[in-house]
Amino acid sequence: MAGDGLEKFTEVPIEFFKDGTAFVQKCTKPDKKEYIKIIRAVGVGFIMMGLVGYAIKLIHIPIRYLIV
Amino acid sequence: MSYTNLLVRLIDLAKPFLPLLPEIELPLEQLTFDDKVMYTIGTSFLYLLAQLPIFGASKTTNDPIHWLRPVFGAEQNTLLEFGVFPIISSGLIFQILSGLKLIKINFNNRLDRELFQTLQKVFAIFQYAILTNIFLFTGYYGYNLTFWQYILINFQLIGTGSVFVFISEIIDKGYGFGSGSLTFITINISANFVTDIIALNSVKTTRGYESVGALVNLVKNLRNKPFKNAILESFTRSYLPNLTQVYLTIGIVLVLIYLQNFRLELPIRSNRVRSVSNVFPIKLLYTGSLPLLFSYVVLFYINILGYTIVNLVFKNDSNQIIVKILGQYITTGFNSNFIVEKPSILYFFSPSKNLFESLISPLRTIIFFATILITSTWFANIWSSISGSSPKDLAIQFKEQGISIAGRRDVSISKELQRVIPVAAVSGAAILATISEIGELFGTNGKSPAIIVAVGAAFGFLELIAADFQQGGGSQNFGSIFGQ
Amino acid sequence: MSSPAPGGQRTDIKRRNNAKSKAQSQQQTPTSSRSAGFGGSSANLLKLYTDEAQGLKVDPLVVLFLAVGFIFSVIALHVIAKLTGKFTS
Repeated sequence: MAGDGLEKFTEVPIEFFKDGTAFVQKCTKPDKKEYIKIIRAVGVGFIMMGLVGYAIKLIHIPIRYLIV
Repeated sequence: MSYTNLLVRLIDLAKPFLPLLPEIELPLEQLTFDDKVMYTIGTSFLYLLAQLPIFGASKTTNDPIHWLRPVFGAEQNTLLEFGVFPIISSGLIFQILSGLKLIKINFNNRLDRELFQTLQKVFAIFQYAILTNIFLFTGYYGYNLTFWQYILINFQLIGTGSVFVFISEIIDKGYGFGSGSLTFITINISANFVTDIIALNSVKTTRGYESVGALVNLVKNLRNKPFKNAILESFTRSYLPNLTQVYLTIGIVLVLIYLQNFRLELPIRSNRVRSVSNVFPIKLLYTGSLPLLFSYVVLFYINILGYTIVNLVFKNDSNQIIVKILGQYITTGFNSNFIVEKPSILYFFSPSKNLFESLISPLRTIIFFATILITSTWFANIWSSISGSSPKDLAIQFKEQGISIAGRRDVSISKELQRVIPVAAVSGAAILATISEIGELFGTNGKSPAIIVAVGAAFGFLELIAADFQQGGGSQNFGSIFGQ
Repeated sequence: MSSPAPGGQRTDIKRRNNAKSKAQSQQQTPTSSRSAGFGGSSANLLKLYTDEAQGLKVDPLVVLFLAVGFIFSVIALHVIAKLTGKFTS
């Protein structure tokens, strides 16, 4: 009984692992051109948001100095 | 029967709040692309502005949730002490419960939907209140606080929480792109990412003043110290951002972008126009980074529950047996983090401080990883079938648009999607959990899962923005930025 | 069906079809707001508040201004405390 339960316990993840690797292998992967294009888009967006965010955080330094 | 009755009443709990709580008006018409960008920028600005120190708290604090903060956009000792955790956890929990039909909600019924939404809102604010008072009564804000300090801290933290519940409602209702809470997390993480690299301000440490920004620190070290020491210190300092973390983060982003475009392309054809064939992509990261977010919600609950029991009930007294089992909190180091260092339950549900620690206690590493892996994959499996993009929903959409999968009969569309989507979602979640854990092995203290959540959400936004941009045309001001 | 149903065979079929479609629709009760067709969380984005409930209807700009007001009230608290020297921690 216990062995049975254990078998089931390991069976499900292994099954999923097999399915998963099969799925990943079947996937269409991005080619270099596509990849670089997305890196640029995401990178620019992320850095832009980050810089604006950092600018706002800079405002906090004098405010903290003033109020604390 | 009584069981279901009890659960039916759960959404009725929200009924008394229905007329009391403010509701953001739905936009009268679709907002223009520029307006949406303005709302997004405005709300993000507010989120960052709200990171003000709490008034009335004493300065010496022991932070028990420092490694959970990055994921939820929380900043220590500020008004955003808990970030958007209460909002996110409330949403995830109730949407899973309703998806699993543990709470009976008829989503076709308007009143049910309203009650459900108000319930999530009330519960989010309720959680802000609970967390605030847990922190207050465990001495996080100092001991011997006066009555007015209790009142004021409650007012500030619950007030801020409620404000951001309503602000995220603004974005959710279509004034911005996609999801409010995820917008805040993303903007906060990207701001912290840039801060970690280039922050110019310095902080006093045991080794004198050091720059916060990792790159700035490197430059400074190179000028002042022998070359070898300079490099080594820039990569290994543990109390402030170091270059190892920065490179790890960049590496994770690059891998994520690569994985994002893994997709299984199902050949589809239109039933109306013959000879038109196309592909329908099923992405590997089908549920985006939500599974990882869910895992961290679970970890947050485990840790906050443990923290409360240990510190509120047993006063962190190491003589108590329960404290021994759960783990005693110890204040460490420069950041005065409050962590559990001896093997115990809470110890196993928190990440290691650095690579060395991960290697000498493999059991902890394994348990922590397993927790994330199991919760992530469980969530991905559930979410892919309950959110509006389940195989069944897609099959209905296909039918409406007269699309079928090439070489399959109409009836088997749902079956074919059912075969593919859960596998994609679960494998995607497992891969993200693994990447996150690899980062955490090196002691990124929550920054790896945070960057994964942020980039995952950013992809979601990018899809929406691209769709919006195509609809709105390219003549608008902000739109031109995205035009390529 | 052992005994002939009242109303003849045709109504019986109708009734059976009716029951079938009812069962089907019950099986397909939407599991989320989006799958019922009313917006809400998608596969990779979490949304909480997408419906307009009854209650105090507020314009988003009002909320934003109130939020700014709230933040400034906290700043004001700090400043007042600093000036009067109370709660020095």
